[in-house]
Amino acid sequence: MLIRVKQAYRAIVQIGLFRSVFLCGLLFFVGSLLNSYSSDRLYSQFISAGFILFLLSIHIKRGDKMFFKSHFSNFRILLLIEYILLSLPVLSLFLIHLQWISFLVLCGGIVLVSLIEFTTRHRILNSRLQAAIPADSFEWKAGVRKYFFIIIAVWIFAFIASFNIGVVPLAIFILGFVTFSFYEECESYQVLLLHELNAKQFLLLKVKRQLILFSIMVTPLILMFLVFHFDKWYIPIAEYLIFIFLHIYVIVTKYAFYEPNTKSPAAQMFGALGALGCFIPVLIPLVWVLTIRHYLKSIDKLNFYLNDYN
Amino acid sequence: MITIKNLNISYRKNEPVIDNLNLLLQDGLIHGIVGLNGAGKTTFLNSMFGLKKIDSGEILSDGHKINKKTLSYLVTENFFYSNISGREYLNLFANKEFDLEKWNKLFTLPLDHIIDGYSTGMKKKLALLGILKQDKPIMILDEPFNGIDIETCRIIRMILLRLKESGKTIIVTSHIIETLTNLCDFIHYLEKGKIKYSKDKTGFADFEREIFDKIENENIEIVNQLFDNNLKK
Repeated sequence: MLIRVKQAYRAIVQIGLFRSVFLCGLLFFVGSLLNSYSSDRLYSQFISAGFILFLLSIHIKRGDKMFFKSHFSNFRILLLIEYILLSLPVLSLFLIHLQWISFLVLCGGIVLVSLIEFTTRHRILNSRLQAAIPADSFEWKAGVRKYFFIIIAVWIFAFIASFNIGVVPLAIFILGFVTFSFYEECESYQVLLLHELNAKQFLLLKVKRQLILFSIMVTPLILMFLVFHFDKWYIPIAEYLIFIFLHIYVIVTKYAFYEPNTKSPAAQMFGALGALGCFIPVLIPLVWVLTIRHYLKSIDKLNFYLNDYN
Repeated sequence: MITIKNLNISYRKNEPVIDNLNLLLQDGLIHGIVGLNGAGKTTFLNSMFGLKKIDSGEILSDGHKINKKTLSYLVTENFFYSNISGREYLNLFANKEFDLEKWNKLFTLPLDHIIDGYSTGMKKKLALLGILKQDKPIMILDEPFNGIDIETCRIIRMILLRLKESGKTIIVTSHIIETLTNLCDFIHYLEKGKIKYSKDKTGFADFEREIFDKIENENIEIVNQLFDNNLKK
């Protein structure tokens, strides 16, 4: 417990006071949304299921399970306690609103998740799709490998079912978010240096590659939508443009907080803010402002590594 | 010639890690940098590659400020982007003359597997292949023999000697002194942020003896105390 408190403290120090306050505000906002929705029986069940999935994704991805196993004989109880503590705000909301079924489902889910013995295996997946991606777009090669089945399933389903007006916009939404997540990890500086470009040229190349690859991915779906619903042409186009903008935002944010070989908490937090912009339109102007700010910051940050190529 | 003049680097005020370091590194030779843990080896190498800001002093190559265009750097801890294969990693470096399949006959890496599943030694070999593919005139190798089996150690030694013959300047660190005495033309001993002395091949035997004697003399008392106490119990 003490270790977790220290880790949380270090994370707060790393992301800085201003961003911590902002993060608290964001959490408060999400909390108030959960509070209002958890009073409804159906929504509370969705929240319960969503939170179990959230815990499951943490459990599968966490890298400290081996440490727990080798150091503590009662490691499952420790995992259980951690997940209960993490779920405490949601459990409390269910109790306040007397949502007993959702409460019990979440409790059961927490127990089950802590018992699961599963870690992600490294897939050896070298599809033709990987070979078609340019050699220097390693984020796409890695991302497509990671989400291969989701991408393929969503794309094929959307293509076939594009006569339904909602399918293509939903598919663009999912694919947009999947590709958005390709940029959460910072590469090593050897990879950063390999283009031998200066900071501005480097950023331009990254943005260009992202826009081209994302456009190749979604253009056939947009065309299919236009074939069936030409009068609503502006829906996928607007969505496409929003995602293009979000992708530029996430790239400049990544390099604004670039630290070799890490996933920057600050970049992840700002990335989440950008993602929220899709749901809360009020945030979009803020994202625009942040894009300019992060662009300038990323030039400054990258200059430290790429100054020899100026 | 690489010239390092009055180099000073510190992480905190008045606590220099590199303290007025001066060193000349002749081109086309293999230079070993030796020092105990915390002596400042990695900080020194990071500053050469431009990853650590220097407080004062200069690092020159043939009279000009040293530049990443002429350097490649193998770091101690190798990090690779997750979910990419060894082949994809190496394809990031553009060098059409580099025959990957032939080079990999030496290291037998599963290049089409993703790197996350590689062992420490395999990751080191892959990083080294990346350095070789970059084919820069100056190579900085921080602990290239860490986590590598005997056979590969020997292969790396052969490769480095050939690279020297082709005119490359190689700067290498290692905790295993024997690997350096068998390989280097010069060994430079770094202590408390300064180069205490540099030895050529004729001085390596003395150097080894001095180092081992120093380490033993510094620690013999504590070791004796520990074992005497244990025997009393």
